[in-house]
Amino acid sequence: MSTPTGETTFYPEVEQSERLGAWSGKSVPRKEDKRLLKGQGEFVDDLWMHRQGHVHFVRSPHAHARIVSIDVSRAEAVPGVYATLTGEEVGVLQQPFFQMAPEPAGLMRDYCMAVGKARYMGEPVVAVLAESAELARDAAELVEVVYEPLAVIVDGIATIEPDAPVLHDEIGSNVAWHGTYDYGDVDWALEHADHVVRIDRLHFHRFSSTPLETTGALVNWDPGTGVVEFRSNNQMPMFAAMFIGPAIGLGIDHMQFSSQDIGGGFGIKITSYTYLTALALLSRKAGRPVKWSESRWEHLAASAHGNERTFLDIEVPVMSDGTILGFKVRAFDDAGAYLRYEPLGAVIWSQVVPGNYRFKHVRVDYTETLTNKCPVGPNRGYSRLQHLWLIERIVDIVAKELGFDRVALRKQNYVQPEEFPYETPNGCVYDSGDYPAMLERALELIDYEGALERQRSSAGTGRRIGIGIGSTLDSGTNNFGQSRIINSALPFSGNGEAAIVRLDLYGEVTVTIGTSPQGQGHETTAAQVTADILGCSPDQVHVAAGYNKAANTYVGFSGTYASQFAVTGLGAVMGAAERLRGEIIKVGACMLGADESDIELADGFVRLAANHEAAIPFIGIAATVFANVAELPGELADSVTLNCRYVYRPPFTVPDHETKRGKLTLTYASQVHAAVIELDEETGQVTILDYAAVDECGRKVNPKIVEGQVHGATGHGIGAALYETFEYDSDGQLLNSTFMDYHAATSLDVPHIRTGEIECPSPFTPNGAKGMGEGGGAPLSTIASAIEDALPEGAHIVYDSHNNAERVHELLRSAAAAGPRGVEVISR
Amino acid sequence: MIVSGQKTLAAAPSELWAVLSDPARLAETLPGVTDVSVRDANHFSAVAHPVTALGETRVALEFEIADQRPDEHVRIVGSGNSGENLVALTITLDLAPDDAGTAASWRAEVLLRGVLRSLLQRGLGELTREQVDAVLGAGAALSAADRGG
Repeated sequence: MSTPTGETTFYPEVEQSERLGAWSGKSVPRKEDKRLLKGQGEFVDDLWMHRQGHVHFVRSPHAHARIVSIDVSRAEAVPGVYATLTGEEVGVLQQPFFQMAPEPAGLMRDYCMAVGKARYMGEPVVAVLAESAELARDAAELVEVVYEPLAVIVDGIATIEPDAPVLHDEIGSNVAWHGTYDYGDVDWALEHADHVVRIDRLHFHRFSSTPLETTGALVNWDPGTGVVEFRSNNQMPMFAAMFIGPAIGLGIDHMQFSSQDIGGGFGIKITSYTYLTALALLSRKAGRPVKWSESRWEHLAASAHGNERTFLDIEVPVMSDGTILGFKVRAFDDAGAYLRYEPLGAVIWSQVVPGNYRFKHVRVDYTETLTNKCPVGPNRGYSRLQHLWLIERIVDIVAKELGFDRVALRKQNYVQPEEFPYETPNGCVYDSGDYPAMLERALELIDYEGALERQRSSAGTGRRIGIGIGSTLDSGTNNFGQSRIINSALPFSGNGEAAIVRLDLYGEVTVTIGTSPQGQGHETTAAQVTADILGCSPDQVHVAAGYNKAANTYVGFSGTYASQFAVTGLGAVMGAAERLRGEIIKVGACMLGADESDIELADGFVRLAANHEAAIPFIGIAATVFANVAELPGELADSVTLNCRYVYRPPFTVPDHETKRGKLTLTYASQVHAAVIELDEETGQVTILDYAAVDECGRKVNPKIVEGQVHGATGHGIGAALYETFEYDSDGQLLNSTFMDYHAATSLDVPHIRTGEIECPSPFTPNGAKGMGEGGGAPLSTIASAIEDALPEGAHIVYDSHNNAERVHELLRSAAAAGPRGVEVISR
Repeated sequence: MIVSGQKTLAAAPSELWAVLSDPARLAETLPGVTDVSVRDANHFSAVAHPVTALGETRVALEFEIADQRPDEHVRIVGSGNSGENLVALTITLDLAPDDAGTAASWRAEVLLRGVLRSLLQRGLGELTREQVDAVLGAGAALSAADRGG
C-alpha cells in the first residue's frame, strides 16, 4: 500500500524464532498415521449415539420447479420411521441464512431445504428420519412431492438477459454481484502498446473435489440443556456457527462442534452448514440424535462445486520487446443457485491480480451470476485458480501470436527475485519468491531440450508432442477485510488462529488448536514446532486430534482452509509454546536458585546451561505448580498457570472498499509446473509423458508432508484438466452425478511426478513458512499450454480449462477448417 | 430422448391391438413390473424396478391409454417418480398388416430427471428398445395364446 507521499509500505518484518530447527524442517513421520493406517481413525460414519436415527434427504429431480404439495403421510406410516421434515416446516422454523452479498442479492432467502421452490437438481426437499439408513431411503420413496416445473437457466452469461427465468424473486434478477476492478491505466496501455492481442472467450469449467469421505454429521439437539451437538466433518465450524446460530436461534454457547478425523475437505466442506441446520431442526423435532452420511451421488450433485468462470473480450497490451503491460477482461462467474460462501469468490481472485507477473494495468469487469445448478463453494485454489489460468493462457497465447519464446517471455515478465517484497497493482504484497529459478528447475526436470528434440522428431508420426508450462500462486492467510470490497457493511477484517499449549500434571506437553484438519498433518507439525521451543521430542508432545469446541480454544476465523495453517495455526502454537517456555523457565530458575538467563530447556528438562547435572524434568515443574505449590513464592505461584493460550494475528489492515486495494493475503507460495504430453491425432487422446512440479512455500516445517500435498494438488489438477467436469444439460440435469461419469483421477491416470523445490522464506511469518496445499491449479494451466503447443498451425486456441479427447479432437480439426481461431492481433 | 423402431410380429393387427389397448392385458406384457393395478378402461398403475449401477430403484408409474384407433394405433402415456427421480414416457404404436402378420412402428419419448438421468444417459436408448420389443413380443405371444396357438 502506498502512503500519501507515494512511498510503499510493507508488513513489518517478523523476527523469526531461532529455536526452530531441531525438529522443524525434518520429515518426521506423521503422528496421525499410526491410527489411520491401522483403520483406527474416527470419521463421521464411525460415530454412534444412543437412540440415533438415520436421515435420508428426498431431493428435487427438477432443476427449477415450484413445490405444489408434499405428502409425507405414507412415509411416516412406515414402522421404524421416526419423523420427517419438509421445506414448509423449515420456512417456519428457520430464518433465512445470513447473506454476505450486498442488496439486492443480499435479500436472498436461503434455507437449509427448498422452501416453496427448488432451484437445482438435487436440492433437498424433505428429510426422512428412520431407525436405519436403508429404511429411511425406502420410506423416502413414499414421499409424494408434486412439482410444477419452471423454465431453467444453466448458462452463466445468458442468465442476466431480461428474458431469463429469475431464480429468486426477492432479488429481481440473476445478478449476484457486479463490480469493476481497475488498477493502473489499462486504457493508456492499450493505446500505447505496440501490439494488442484480443482473445474472444476463455472458459474455466465446473468441477469439484472428491474427498474419500463425503459430507456427514451426527447431530443431537439436547432437549434438556438446549445445547446442540454437531459431530461433523465441517472444516470451518466457527464459520458454520455464524450461519446456523442466527438462522435457528442458537447462541455460540449452545452449539458444540467436534470432529476427529476428516477424510479430505478441499474447501467444499465449509458450506455444509445448510445440512447441519436441517439435521439440527430434525433432531429437535424427533427428540433424538440424527445421523446423515452423504452418498457419492449426493456429494457430486448437491454438495458444492468449484466456481465456473467465463472470460470475454480479453485485450492484452504488449510492447515489441515482449513486455506485457497488463490486460482487460469481462469475467462472468457462475455461482449456481445460492450464495453459500459467495460472493467472496468475487474478490478472492484479486489476491493474485497479476499472477506471477509484473503486469501494471489490469481491469476486470466482474459479474457473479445465479443459475439452476448446484451452488458453488470454495474448492482447492478457490477463485484464484480460475484467474491464474486466465493469466497463463494470456501469456501462452501472446507468445504464440507474437512469436516470442514462451520460456523467455515468462522470465522477462515474471516478478524478479530482487523485487520482493513486491507490491501488486492492487496493493497486495508478494512476500518472497524466485519464479525464474523455479521455471529453470521445472524445465530441467522434464529435460526440456530433450523434449524439444522429441517434439521435432515426432512430426508426421500422428502423435504430436507438446510441452506445457504453468506458473501459479497459492496465496495463503486471508485478510477477511477483503469481504468489505464486495460489501462495505460486513463486519469482518484480519484473521487469526488460537492455540493452547500446556504442561500437564505429570509433565505432559499438550497442544490444542482451533483448526479442524482434514489430512494436513497438524498433529505432527504442531508437535515439531512445540518440541523445538520447549526443548523436547515431538514424541513428548501430545496434540489433540481434530477439533472439539468444548476442549479447544478458538477464534472467529478458526478452521482449516485457505492455505494458512503453517502460518496462523503454527503461529498460534509457537506463541503459546513460547509463553509456556517462559513460565517453565521462571519456575525452574526459582527451583534451581538460578537466574532465568542461566536456564535452558533440553531433552524434556529444565537445567542450568553451565551445569547439565542441575536439572529438573518437566514433571518436576508441573508437579510443583499443580500439587506442591506452597513450595513456590506466592508471587511466582500467582503468575504461572502452565496453561498458555495465544492468538496469532497477522498484521492486516482494512482494505479500501472504493479503490478495491489492500493487503489481502500474507503469504504467496508459488508453483511452476512443466509437462510433456503426447496427443493422438486420430482420437484426440492426451497422454502425459513427463510431469514436473516445482514448489516454493517458504521454510518447510515437514518436507514430506509438503511433498504429499504437492502430489495431491497436482493429481487433482491433472484430473480436472483431462477428466473431471460437471456437465449439465439444458434442463439443468447433471450428467455426471456418479463416478461412472465423473472420473476422478486415480493413480492409473496420474503420471510419475518429478518434484523440485526452491526455498524463499517469508519475511512476514514467525517461522518463515507460507501456507500451501492448494497448488494454485498449476496443472490446469500446464496441460492447456501443452495441448496448445501440440496443435497444428492454424488451430483454434485452447479456450477451455477442461480438455477431454473430444474437445482436443475438435481443436485438431479446427486447423484444417481454417475458421476463426478465437484470437486476433492488432499491431502498430 | 426419442427412440423409434419397427418390428414384424406374427399376429394380426387386430389381435395385437386388442392386447395393447386393454390395460389389464397390456400390463401383463410389461417386463419387470410389480403391483399392477387397473383403474378403468384407460388407466392402470404399476411399479417398475430399474436396476442401475446404484442398485435397484423403485419407480411408481401411472399409465394412461391416451389415444387409440382400433386395429392400427395406440398411444400410451406414463409418468411416475421414486422420490428423487422422475420418469415420463409417451409410447406411440402404429400397426399395419404385413405378410407375416403385423408391421409395428413405434416411437418412444422418454424423459428422466434426477440421478437416473445421468446413470442411464448412455443406456437409455437401448433399454427403451429392449423394453418395447419385449412388450410387442409378449403382446404377440398373448395374441397367439388367444388363438389357441
